[in-house]
Amino acid sequence: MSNGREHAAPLELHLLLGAPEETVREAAWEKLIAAHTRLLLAAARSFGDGHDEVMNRYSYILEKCRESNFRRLRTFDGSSGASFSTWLTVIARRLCLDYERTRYGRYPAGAKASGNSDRAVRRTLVDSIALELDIDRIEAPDTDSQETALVHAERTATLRAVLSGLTPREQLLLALRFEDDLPAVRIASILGLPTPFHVYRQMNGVLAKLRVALVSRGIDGPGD
Amino acid sequence: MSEPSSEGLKHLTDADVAAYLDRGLSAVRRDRIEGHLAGCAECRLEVLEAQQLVKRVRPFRRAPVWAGSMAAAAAVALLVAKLGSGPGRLPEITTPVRADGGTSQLVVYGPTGEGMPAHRVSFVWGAAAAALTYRLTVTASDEAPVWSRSGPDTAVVLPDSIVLSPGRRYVWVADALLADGGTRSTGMREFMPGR
Repeated sequence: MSNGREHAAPLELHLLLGAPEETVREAAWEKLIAAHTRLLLAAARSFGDGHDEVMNRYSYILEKCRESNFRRLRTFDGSSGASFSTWLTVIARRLCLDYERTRYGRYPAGAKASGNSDRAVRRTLVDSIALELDIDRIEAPDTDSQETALVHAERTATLRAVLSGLTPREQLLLALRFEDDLPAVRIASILGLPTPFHVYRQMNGVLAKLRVALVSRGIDGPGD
Repeated sequence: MSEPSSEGLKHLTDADVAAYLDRGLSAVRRDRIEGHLAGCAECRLEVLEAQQLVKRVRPFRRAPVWAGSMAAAAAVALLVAKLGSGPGRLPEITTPVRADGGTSQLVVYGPTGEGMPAHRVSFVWGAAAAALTYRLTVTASDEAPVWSRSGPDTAVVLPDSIVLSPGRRYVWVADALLADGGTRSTGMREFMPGR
């Protein structure tokens, strides 16, 4: 399927997958690995240092890439929109995760990354946005009357409906900021925006859009 | 990761993640993937972590040449005018390049790449018409802030108090605020002072 930009597979991959003879295939495999050793080692190291463990993961990546006549490598599709190096990086990382899971039955502490610890307490998007838009200052339902609980539920449902009307990119922007609590510089990097300023500007635009939508549905602030 | 891919939207495949990180998707497919990411914390985490790794292993990329020799000569003239002609003060100059991205952006003169001195690094970019002010931000590759400054100049030298670590990667970006409220940017530029 052609989905966007096309990337050519590296020559070594063509040679490897098209080689009619074992000797040619082995030579192409060695060249392919030599060209991407740094990438594969970085993936292996990203799950923790310790020479033996890194080398075990590295070996596992190579073994799995060779498996079933290079079945994994054959799935690279230059028309999918990914370059081979990025694709291989993601694949290598996935294989390291599999290795850890196979070996330990779970991801070792710290291996599954920074993101988990940064976001140990994940907030729900609706609650965070309600706070940001200042529309949910009514008292908590469990300490107040049935009527208050009803108002709270209605506002939550309205906000959820309004959020679903945003574009996928706008929803992702809000999720990265309010659910994942990421800094603007990181959000810019994920969304491909040139600077954090672009994040702030888009964020302000989305929040303004949400406010307008909420007002049009009769919600315009705390205690409404 | 679990199949099927973005079409079934159970979870993103590795190919989806890679294509998203490479910005190689059609608008329709990008929308599908971003729609999935907005509602799937697990896949967002995958994308975030994969991106960190990709950034770590990606070699420095030399941006495509944007301007010809006339522009390069103009850049040198600009630098001399801005920084003076002392031999120790001229920055590392690479070929001027356009920032990535489709909209009108600021031309980048440097630094990019590796090997420049770790102190008194000079940041130089092209002027934008009707720019009111520029903001330069320098961060370490782990996003730790290093230095920032706002002002009218398009050439700025790091003060003596800021000494970068040789062999460490840094990112800089200059943004222009225009009179009509718009902005222009160099985009994020990576560099690494020499050891």
